[in-house]
Amino acid sequence: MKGKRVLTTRRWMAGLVLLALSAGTGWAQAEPERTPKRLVALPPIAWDPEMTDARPLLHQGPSDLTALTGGILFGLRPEAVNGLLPEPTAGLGWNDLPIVNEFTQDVRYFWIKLAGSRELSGGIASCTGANSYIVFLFRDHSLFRMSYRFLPDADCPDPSQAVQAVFARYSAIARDVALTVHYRNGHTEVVDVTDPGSRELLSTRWLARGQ
Amino acid sequence: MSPIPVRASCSARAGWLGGSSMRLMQPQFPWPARMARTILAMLLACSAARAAPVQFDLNLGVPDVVLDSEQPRACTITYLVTDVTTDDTYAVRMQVMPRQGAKPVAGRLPCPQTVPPRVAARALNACIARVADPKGCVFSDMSRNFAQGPELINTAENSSRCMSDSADFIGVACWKSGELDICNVGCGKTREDAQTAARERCETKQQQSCLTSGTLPVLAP
Repeated sequence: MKGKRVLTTRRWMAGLVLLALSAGTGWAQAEPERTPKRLVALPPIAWDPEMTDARPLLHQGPSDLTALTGGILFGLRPEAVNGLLPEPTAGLGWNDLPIVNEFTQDVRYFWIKLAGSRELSGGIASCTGANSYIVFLFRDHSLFRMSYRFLPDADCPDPSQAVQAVFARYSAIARDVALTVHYRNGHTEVVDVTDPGSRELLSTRWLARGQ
Repeated sequence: MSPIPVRASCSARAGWLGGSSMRLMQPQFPWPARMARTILAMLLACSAARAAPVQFDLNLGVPDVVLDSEQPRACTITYLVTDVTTDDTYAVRMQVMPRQGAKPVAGRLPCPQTVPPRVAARALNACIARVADPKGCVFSDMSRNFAQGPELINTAENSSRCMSDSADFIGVACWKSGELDICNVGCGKTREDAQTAARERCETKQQQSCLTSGTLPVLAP
């Protein structure tokens, strides 16, 4: 009788120990991983006290754009843009530039790798993908768009933090100075920074081959 | 160059010139033309100085920067709007100019009791201008049906904003439904408060773990 009681007590004790251990394992489990979400702050808007009329709160101009691009500005000729890059291409001129397919107008371009583009990749603290690049698009010899294209690879399967950094950086500029648009094209993330004065060219997006 | 010393020196010279012009009248001392030109130039200079803003030197002792920093900031209503095609969430800050004689409460200027629909429309338009598909822009506080119907009608405008007279931070918390971020918005006095408010609202409303979150100050920097 006494032996049975001891056995039952031991079973209870063992059960309690197991329970405590499993609870301990539960407590020791890491908290679920939280992911930060970047909020893109747009230029603030000022309203009158009756909230009938609105205008931009800040007065921004081309210098706000050049502060981010290392001097590159809409309207510059291909030679001038090339000259402002960290590694200019020798002898680059309008006649050497290939034509962009997605535009009906005579639009030409050249591109550089995003890595090592100095000010143009400013604000990026995460991986970008080794093959990511920036395209400069010109019409009538003048720059009207910079197009960032982020391509994931084995070392950087998700460059979205870099995309967000570039998008947030240019979105802080008023849209009458530079219009910044973010979209996806297959696996490529695109951030276009376009001259708002380029009118009919504004809405044309990049289409990857075969899409 | 300050006009004050110029004016002061001209007044002094005017007195001297007055004395000189008396001597000018004496016929026994013919004045050379060069001297006459100099006097004329000085007279003109004095007139120019008198035309300068007379009250330019008022309140020179008051340091403007200190005065500005003590002024309460105007009411700011910050909206969060989302582009569902890219999951980008935009913060659109609306600063409302204070009414004449508006009194700050606890260092904050009051915000309007009601916000006209055009203000929300303007916030939405700020998103629409930047996206490929305008229909992708919605308010960031989403209903439980949003995953099934990711449209504007399944979002709440008034829960997607925070006002600077009651909150310092705006936060968003989301869960992933496939590629889509399903989010809710919260306001708070601190970054942590806003994040907690958004997460609690998201988890209550969506019945999901809302592990993606972000915050931003309501007032523009």
